[in-house]
Amino acid sequence: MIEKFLMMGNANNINFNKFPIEQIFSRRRKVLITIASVAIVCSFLIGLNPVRLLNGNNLKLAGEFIGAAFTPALDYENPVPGTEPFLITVIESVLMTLRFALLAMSVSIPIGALLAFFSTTAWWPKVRNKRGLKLLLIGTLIISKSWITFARSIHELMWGILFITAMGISTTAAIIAVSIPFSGILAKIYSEIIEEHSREAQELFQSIGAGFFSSFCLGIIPQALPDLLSYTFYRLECALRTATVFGFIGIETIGYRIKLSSDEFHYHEVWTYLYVLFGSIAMLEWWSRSIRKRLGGSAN
Amino acid sequence: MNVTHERPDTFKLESAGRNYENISALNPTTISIKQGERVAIVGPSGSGKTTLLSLCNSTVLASSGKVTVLGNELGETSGKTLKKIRSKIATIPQNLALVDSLRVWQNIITGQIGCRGFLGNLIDLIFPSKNKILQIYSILERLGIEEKLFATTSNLSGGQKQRVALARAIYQNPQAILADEPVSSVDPARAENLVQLLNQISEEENITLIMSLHNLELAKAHFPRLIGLRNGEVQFDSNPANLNENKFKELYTLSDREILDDGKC
Repeated sequence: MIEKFLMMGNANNINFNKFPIEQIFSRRRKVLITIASVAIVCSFLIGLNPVRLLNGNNLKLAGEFIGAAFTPALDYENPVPGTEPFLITVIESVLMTLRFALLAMSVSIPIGALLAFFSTTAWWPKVRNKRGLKLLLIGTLIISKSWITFARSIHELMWGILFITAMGISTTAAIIAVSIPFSGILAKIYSEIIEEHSREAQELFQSIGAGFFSSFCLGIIPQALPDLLSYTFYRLECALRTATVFGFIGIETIGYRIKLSSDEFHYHEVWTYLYVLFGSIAMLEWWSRSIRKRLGGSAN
Repeated sequence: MNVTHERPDTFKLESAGRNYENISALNPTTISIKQGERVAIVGPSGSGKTTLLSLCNSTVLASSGKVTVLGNELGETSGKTLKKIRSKIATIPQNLALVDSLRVWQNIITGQIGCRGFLGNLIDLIFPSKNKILQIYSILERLGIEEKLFATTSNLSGGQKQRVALARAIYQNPQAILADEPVSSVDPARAENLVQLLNQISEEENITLIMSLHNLELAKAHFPRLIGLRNGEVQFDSNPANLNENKFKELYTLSDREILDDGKC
């Protein structure tokens, strides 16, 4: 392959001898081999053994589970007289999941926005001769960035287990557990989005007499709004998934119902819950696209 | 009795210069520009045109000398007084500094951002009064793009965006307009039209107009005063009729080194 390149170069009077092509291809080969080796070594160390998945019982269960995907349940597989209808339970559980996710985001967004504001320098006024103000700004920046890093470093499920262990199984504990890492993640992404947008309008507004806060809010935020919204909707989807997972540790969201059905091997019921969850996320995605399109941002 | 009413100075630079690290972007310069004057600043890239405009709109402070704007020395002014002065000087930067995601009327309404507080500006942007919209509409009508009032700025052509930036400057009700190469990215016909329009507005409203231009012919045709800059130094400051072609040739003849450097800053 390298010889072909060199021949092409000579045909077009380009002197490839000046370029380290041998070196580049050798480096790429080394990187690929290193990645492959690391993957193989890690899989040995953690005992990865796909063959175990192929034992008779596992295959049977897998087959039943996948087969149930084509015939989701419209009623309980083992109906108990006096229980509310299955589809009502499904709808109630998805609404509970949505409520949980919306509530978690309602707490996370303002905290995340505030943290993002303090962890970006985009709005800083000129502090040429104001040492005290400069120190205050830098101090606030360091504190907010440190909190963001800490909050993000622990997964919401870990926070959930810690809070539920401390406060018992309650929606409040779960909401707090989700809000901590979510506000940190939102803050980080919000501040990065703000930093990457042009400051031309902001600088112009300052030059025509606007204060630093007005010029920041009206010069940068309108530009960043479609991206900020896009990411917020993505986080709402994540909140929906987190709410589902929290069902596995006792919070009565759709995940709780999936666990109950799954423990009884009622896979048709499980698929009904999964399809409804998928539908909710698809509707959320459609809603998010239409809002972003109206705001003039990318619909992706 | 003969009474002469001398026009006040809008901008006065007294040995004012600006350095960036060890590079002198503008050597100490003394210039005064009266209210209602129309001045074109010409010179090759990096000659200090943008620096001169930045000193006038207080975007940068002078490293030496004094800059006085509307009777106030900038080095001694801060806080509310400085904001008030800035609110009277409109700027049309080279990049136009429009917010693409906003509607045309929203971009124009930000022209008066320096006159209100944050909440007032936010209300204007979301719930503008009918009078303000009508005022903006009449400005756009004058510029020939009234049908774009509610259009999203990102959907406009380059020429239309320039008119929106001009409309924003007019809406600001300024005492001076500083335009930094406002026609650099439009075709010659539109450039001629825009420069003519700015001059017309300046004459009618008695607004001081300072425009930096690369196009010498446009500058000579429309401006009664030309300031030529090269390497941060004023080469001439005169009516174009009093300048011979050699002066312009000297201004734009660059050495090989200067062409490669593309300006000092």
